[in-house]
Amino acid sequence: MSQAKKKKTKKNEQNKNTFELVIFALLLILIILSLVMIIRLTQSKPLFPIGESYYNLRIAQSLKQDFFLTQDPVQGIVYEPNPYHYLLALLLVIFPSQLVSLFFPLLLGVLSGFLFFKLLVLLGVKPKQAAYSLIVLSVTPVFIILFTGLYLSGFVIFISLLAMVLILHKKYNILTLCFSLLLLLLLALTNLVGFLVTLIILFFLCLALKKAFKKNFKKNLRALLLSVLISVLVIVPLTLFSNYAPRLLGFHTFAFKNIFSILRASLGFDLFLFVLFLTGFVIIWIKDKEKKLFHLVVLVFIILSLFNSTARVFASFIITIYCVVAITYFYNRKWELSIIKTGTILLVLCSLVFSVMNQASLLVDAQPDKEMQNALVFLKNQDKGRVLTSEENGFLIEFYSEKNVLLDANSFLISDYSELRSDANTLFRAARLKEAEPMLKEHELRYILITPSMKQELWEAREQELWFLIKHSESFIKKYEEGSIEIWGYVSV
Amino acid sequence: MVRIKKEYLILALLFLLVLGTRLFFVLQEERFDYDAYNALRQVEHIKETGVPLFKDSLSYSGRTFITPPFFYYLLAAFSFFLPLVLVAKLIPSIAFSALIIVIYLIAKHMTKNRTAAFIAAFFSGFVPIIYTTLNQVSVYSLSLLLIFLLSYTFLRIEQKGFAVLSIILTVALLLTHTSVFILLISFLVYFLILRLGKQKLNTKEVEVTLFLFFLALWFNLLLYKKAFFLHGIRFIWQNIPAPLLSSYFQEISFLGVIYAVGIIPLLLGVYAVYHTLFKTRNRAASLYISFAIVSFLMLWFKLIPFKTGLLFLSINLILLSAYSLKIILVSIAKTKIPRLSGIIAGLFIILFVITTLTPFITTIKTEIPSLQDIGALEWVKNNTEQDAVVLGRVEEGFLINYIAKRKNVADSNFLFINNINQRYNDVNKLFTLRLKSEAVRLINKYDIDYLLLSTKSIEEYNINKLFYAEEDCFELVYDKDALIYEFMGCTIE
Repeated sequence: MSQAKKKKTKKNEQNKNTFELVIFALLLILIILSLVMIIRLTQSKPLFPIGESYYNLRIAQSLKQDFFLTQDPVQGIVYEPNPYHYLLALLLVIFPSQLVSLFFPLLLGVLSGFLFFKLLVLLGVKPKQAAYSLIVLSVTPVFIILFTGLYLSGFVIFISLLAMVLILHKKYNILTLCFSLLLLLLLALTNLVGFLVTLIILFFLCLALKKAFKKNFKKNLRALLLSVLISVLVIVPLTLFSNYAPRLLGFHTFAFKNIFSILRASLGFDLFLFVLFLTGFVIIWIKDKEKKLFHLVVLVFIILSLFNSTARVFASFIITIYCVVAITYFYNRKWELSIIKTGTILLVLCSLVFSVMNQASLLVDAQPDKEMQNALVFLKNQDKGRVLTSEENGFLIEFYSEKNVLLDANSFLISDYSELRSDANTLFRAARLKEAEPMLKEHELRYILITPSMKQELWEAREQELWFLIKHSESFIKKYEEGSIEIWGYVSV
Repeated sequence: MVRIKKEYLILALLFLLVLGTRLFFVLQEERFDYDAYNALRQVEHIKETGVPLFKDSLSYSGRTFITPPFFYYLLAAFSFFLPLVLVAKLIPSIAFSALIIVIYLIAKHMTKNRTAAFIAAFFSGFVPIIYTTLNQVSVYSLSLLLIFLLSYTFLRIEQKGFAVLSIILTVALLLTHTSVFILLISFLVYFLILRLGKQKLNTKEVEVTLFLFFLALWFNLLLYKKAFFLHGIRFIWQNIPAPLLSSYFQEISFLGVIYAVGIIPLLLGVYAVYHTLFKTRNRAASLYISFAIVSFLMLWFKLIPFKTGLLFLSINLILLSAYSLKIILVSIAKTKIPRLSGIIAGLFIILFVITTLTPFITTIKTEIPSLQDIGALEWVKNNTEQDAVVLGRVEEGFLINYIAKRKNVADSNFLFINNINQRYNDVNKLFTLRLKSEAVRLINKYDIDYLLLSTKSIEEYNINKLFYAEEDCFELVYDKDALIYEFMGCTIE
């Protein structure tokens, strides 16, 4: 066999191996994501864990009824249109709700994974390394959370990856340009921070990989500028003539509890993966001396992501590359102590498994369960009235009971949010009717839903403050009690 | 051969001297420090059931307890042959005394000078801060020993068997205490110092550090996952109530260090730091400089309890002082009067004894419960219902559990307790309140049946009775030096 033929056969084999690895990684993503959902279903729990998914689904259902929705039908506040809701509504028109809820996040997850792989390959990462990054990605908490529910950030990352792949693709034509511009516009309307982060990443990649994109460099820059221009041209009139309000959301002060999933961050890094990222960063910093500036910018972005949840979603994808660098370094280097090598590799693998198990168990254990669902359905059948409960239960009540709540996770957008929150806190702390009654009347509260987590977190599982009051006052009537969930009705005497 | 025997003999004599001194003070008193009673309960539980007390029904009237159990297992194993009280006095004393052997080995390895190593071992046996642990059943007795032994194996990692030994020691240390992280951070600083000094890193050292770091991180994440979740970053401060934080994590002062460590080890240690960093290069000394720097910084930033930080800092300074002593002794040996080096060595010991005598005398006076208080709790044990809840000072919580075998409201283990500040304040309030209605509310809140006004509480709160304890709600059921009130169960409208 000639040398060239041998080379070709070897290359084919390598390609085949990489292809198999990518398929394995995508299957792994599918298995992990679907397992979380399947376990929830087998435990007779509603598909989605408590949170944003219920809001998005409810709004999509409302949009299905009224495509030009201007007001949230349950909360009664102004509805700010979002392309994601319209897409969901469109899917709901075609498919049944259960099917959309189950398959849409999975599909988005697998596609995002694939796009991430494509993007890495486009950026010059070896296909094998890119496939490994995909495997690491499948165990990151952010990825598991975003694609086991209907989350806006999941959609944002998908659109962003698709736009990046299209813009950075070498076979670049007017059609792909138009499509990518459209995607960036969609992104800007969906989530402004996501759009800005995508632009920054694209701009940075274009500059950093100028040599690799010799031909397309100028075109790419032009496309970026054009997308900014178009977005501004669309957003400004939309802001002026519709309910749409451009907002830079997701910013917060530095706090470890927002950054690491082990500290209850809703979109946080896994601590172990973060350590692996730092290790990988140090390795690459020492080895890849030519691209130090590139890696420095990445580090700056990771640091900035500690202050914004949307940026952290992007950062969670980026750190997987460095994690892979660390893992492959551990695996390939010549260790002087073979026992330590085995131990370290085993520990890294265990930590990856731990990461996925930890996040999966959190999602599986999350509310609502069957008991909660029953209580909420019961509440739905009650007369109209506003409900007092914890902020995190808000979306659930709106979805299942179709009842207005005092506070939900979107209430921070309302101008008098701090006032509402302070009133809610005062109510929860009130042990006397004369303290609670003015606020109950002011906010027209008619129902109080008490869950086990509220009992634990607000009242240390002891009958005190509002819990004590409603149990010992004639102004409150017990409507429902099953397990540890209680629904009380307030009757003004 | 004879010389080796002499070396061992002197070391054995020093060990016996330190052990004898410790036992002299420890065995004079049958009682223990307040917190030690928790260790005794753990050991008793292990002895009875084979497992630590993970679900404690008495502490905080029922709580989860998680701790690395190796130390308690060790005590439990010995308690099969000896009475528990004796084991709890003997084993920590032996472990603290054995520390001098480890210090000798390290100092000898670092200085290649037996005299300097002996002096360092002597310093470590009689440094005042070590004697604050008398009657404490301190887990640091074992963890300090293991940490410094681990650092010794790290220094000799190139030699056969030491890598495996370091892994075994790490596992033992992980199962004993979380302090392994201080050593691991020190390793990183050590590498940094070596790099800055343009010294080559030892591959085996780097490999072992990597492995230990991942192992420690993974193990602690598994063990303390729930605590991380519950307390977030406050986990580092062990969820200690805010008013107590300042006493656990004190401001470090120069005088405080002198008092705890002694002026001689401090001066010699500081000189060793200067000499190693700016004049000579000594890898072992660099390691202990790193360890000292990390201990100091953690103390400064209040990331480590004050006494624990001082324990680590003092032993490291003592090790470094061996390095300075070697320089001094070798310099003298090169003069015309080489015999002077022996006199100088003796002089250092005398100076150390003189300068540490005052702090030594003050530190051996440990805080132990009075006989009157123990008598009162024995009365509780014999005369109250088994599920009764007894209120005492937070420091007396473990004592209530161990002597009276009754539930407490709070004790010194704050992990896993929600709203600890509130509870801590409530407990303190119950000793100082004058208003009966508020006191009854709090008593009902915590389901308290008996209130113990110990001699220590009388002294601390400067009271001779509970002001609100009127006859309609309370009955004085024990009236000696300590008082016990029974709550008769009245409610305030």
